[in-house]
Amino acid sequence: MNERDRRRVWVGAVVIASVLLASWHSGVEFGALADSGGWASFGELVSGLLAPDLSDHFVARIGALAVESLLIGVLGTALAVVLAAVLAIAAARMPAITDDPAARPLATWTASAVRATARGVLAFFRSVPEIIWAFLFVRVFGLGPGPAVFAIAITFSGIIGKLFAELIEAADPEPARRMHGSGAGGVAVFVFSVLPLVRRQWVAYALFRLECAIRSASILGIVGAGGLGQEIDLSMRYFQYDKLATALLAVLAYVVVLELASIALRRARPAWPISVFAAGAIAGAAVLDIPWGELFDDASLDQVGAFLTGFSNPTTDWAFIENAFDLVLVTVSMAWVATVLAAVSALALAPMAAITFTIRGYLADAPHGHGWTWWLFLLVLVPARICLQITRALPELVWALLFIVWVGPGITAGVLALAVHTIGILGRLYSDALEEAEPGPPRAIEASGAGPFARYLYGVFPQALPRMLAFTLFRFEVNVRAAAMVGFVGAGGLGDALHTAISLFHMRDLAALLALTLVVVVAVDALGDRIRMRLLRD
Amino acid sequence: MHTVAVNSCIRALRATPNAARADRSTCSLVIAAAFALIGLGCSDKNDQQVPVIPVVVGSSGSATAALKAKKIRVTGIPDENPTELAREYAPMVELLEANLGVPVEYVPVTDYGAAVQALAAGKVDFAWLGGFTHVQSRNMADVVPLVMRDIDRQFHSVFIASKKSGITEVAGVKGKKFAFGSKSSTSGHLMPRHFLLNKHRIDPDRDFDGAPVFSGAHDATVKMVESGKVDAGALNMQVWDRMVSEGKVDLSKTSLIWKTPPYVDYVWTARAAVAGDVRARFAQTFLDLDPANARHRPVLDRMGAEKYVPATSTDFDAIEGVARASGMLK
Repeated sequence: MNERDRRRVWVGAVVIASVLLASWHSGVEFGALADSGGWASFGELVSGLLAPDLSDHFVARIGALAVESLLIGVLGTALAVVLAAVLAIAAARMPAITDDPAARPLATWTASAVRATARGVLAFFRSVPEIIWAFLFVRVFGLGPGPAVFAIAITFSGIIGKLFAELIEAADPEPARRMHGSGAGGVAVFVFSVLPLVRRQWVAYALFRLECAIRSASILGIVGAGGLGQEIDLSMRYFQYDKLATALLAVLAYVVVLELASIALRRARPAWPISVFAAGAIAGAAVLDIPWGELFDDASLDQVGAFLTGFSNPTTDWAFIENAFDLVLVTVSMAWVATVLAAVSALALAPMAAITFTIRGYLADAPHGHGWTWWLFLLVLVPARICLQITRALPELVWALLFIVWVGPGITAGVLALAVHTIGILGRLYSDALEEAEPGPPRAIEASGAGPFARYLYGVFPQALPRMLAFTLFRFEVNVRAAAMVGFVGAGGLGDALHTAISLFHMRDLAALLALTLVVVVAVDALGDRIRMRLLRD
Repeated sequence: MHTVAVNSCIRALRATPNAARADRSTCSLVIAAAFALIGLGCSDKNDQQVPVIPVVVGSSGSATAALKAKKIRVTGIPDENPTELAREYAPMVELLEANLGVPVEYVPVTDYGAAVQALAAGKVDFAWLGGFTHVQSRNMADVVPLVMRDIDRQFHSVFIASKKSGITEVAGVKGKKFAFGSKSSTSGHLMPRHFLLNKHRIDPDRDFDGAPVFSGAHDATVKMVESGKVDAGALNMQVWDRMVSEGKVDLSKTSLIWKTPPYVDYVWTARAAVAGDVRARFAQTFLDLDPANARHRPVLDRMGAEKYVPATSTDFDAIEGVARASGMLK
């Protein structure tokens, strides 16, 4: 065994041990899936799902809610982009300008204080899941699409703003330096020498996030914030599985149509997606009942005040803090177990879903047209792709609600929800990585007469491995945040504690929990970045 | 309909600073119109067919403004499903409108805390709150209790269990799966927790099979126990009695195992900023409810009461003590 192999064995052992430890610590019981209660619930769920409520008025209502979700997502993203641009400009170290050695110390100090604050705000906005923002906003503004729009605007401004700032910093500093040298002020330098360089990337990234936001908008109704989610929550809570089935089918259709539309728009001229985005935002602002006037009225400002007071004076109850640390561990454990489970399942599904691998083979004169190619297509490729599509299409929160019905509320439901959704995501990413592998090595192996397994194991897999690991790690980071989210609807961990704190107006506890969420998300991100860099460099 | 949509779309375009960019491409307008059409068309249907969950967003008016505008907003904690709540509030709203001579709007919420917050922030003038939510509201804002049902002076929670679980008394819930209602419920969480801990020495955070489940509402708790998703649960006795009398509980699957000692619960709460005479007339509307009156009977029946009685702030001091002791009120 050489050094590299030994290291691999070690990594494998550590992963297995950590998963066992995390499962034990968080108290996951997969047995609940198949015990007598689990089977009975599953049976009810399936029989309800097979008979959706297709009465005219219910379908019409679901349709209306789907449109509402769509408009919420678009308008929310439009606001997010504006907010993100402002925060990013404040957060970014502009090339050439801030390195000015002639600047006075006070000015330098102010500039870095502004940057640090903006960075903090961005990190806070993106580390608190949108469902929690939505819940808080429903409190302030009442039921309706408004809270969902604001929740998406806040969360996505954090996500988009971070990348906007990174793009500003990565831009070529030369034009800015030259312009600054000729005496231009900060604003002019940004508008004329930085913005033109990043504009294209900003637009591309905003459009990419638009899709995520629209998907997310389909579920925020769970806390009363408009859109499809409200039907899902009600039908789930009162065991109306026929209505639930209709709502879930709607979410599925919604996500699939969204994906097809975004593929089509990506191929179209760049003016098209931008136009559709702008038009959707305008339509959203016109149609949705958004309480703009209340955004900054006294009652809302009082709420912001109460929220910030909690932060200036977070809880000091040691028992609570100790418990909160335990919940952090539980939440990270949930994310880890779910990610590893999903990675293992995706590892099996991805090659089945990869067309080059399943059907075509790598040799130019491969013996095509055998009868069994079709069978492979029908029995392996199609089912694998459908499986990945469905698991990916339904958001984690919907899976969480489904598993809560199946195995009851708690950690187990949360882990299963994260795992199932992640199978879809990782399966897709893995199969893309496999498809994009260099055809040389597998071709050589195939030409030497080796079977498909040898071809995969020695020709394709080693090439794709680093990227697959990087994807997995990235998903783990996403899942830490998602674990707090599914907890919020009853699947345990930090999210559950956040829900209790908001429900009972324990603002000081809420402040401590949110601060902890922020620290965990940022720490996991930073750790992930470092490991990923090493992985991709090796 | 179409012109409305297109006009609103054009208005929106004019009103938006982005308009210049947007009309760079004419397709924007077409698509916006399409979006708006679909949106308007659907939202119309939405309003007609599902009056249960209209999208209500309180305007920013303060109490005095609301009264000047001759409009009163009321809400209540969502302790049952929205259909049931709409049925309960519709006759009350009608009665209040007749007696106060101003439009009364019921603002639905989906979360107990939202009802408290709406009252505290002045988005509603009156709220039907539970004992615990009333105590929360009085710790957040200047509010006054007005009237309560006769049954609220001697309110009870019931503990129920699924037949399948074999539980016949409260001691049996130890080590079983247990459901409360909403986290902020008095009869579905606070008081059952209090009695479990102090009368039966069962710590809900340690002694069940896993953490307790929160179903969110009283009728949902019944459904959870009936379906066997949990072994036992606790809820508002009035809701239980009504569900039993209406045949909405399968008594071959679920049984009552214990009724708690009495405590004070639900109350109509007003903001102190609401003018005194309006508060007085509001309270009188309920105090005048007469079971012999054919118009009043359905309102009382649905609320499980014979009559309404005045409430005072001190009625809730005991609940506040329990809430503080349990750590639910901080």
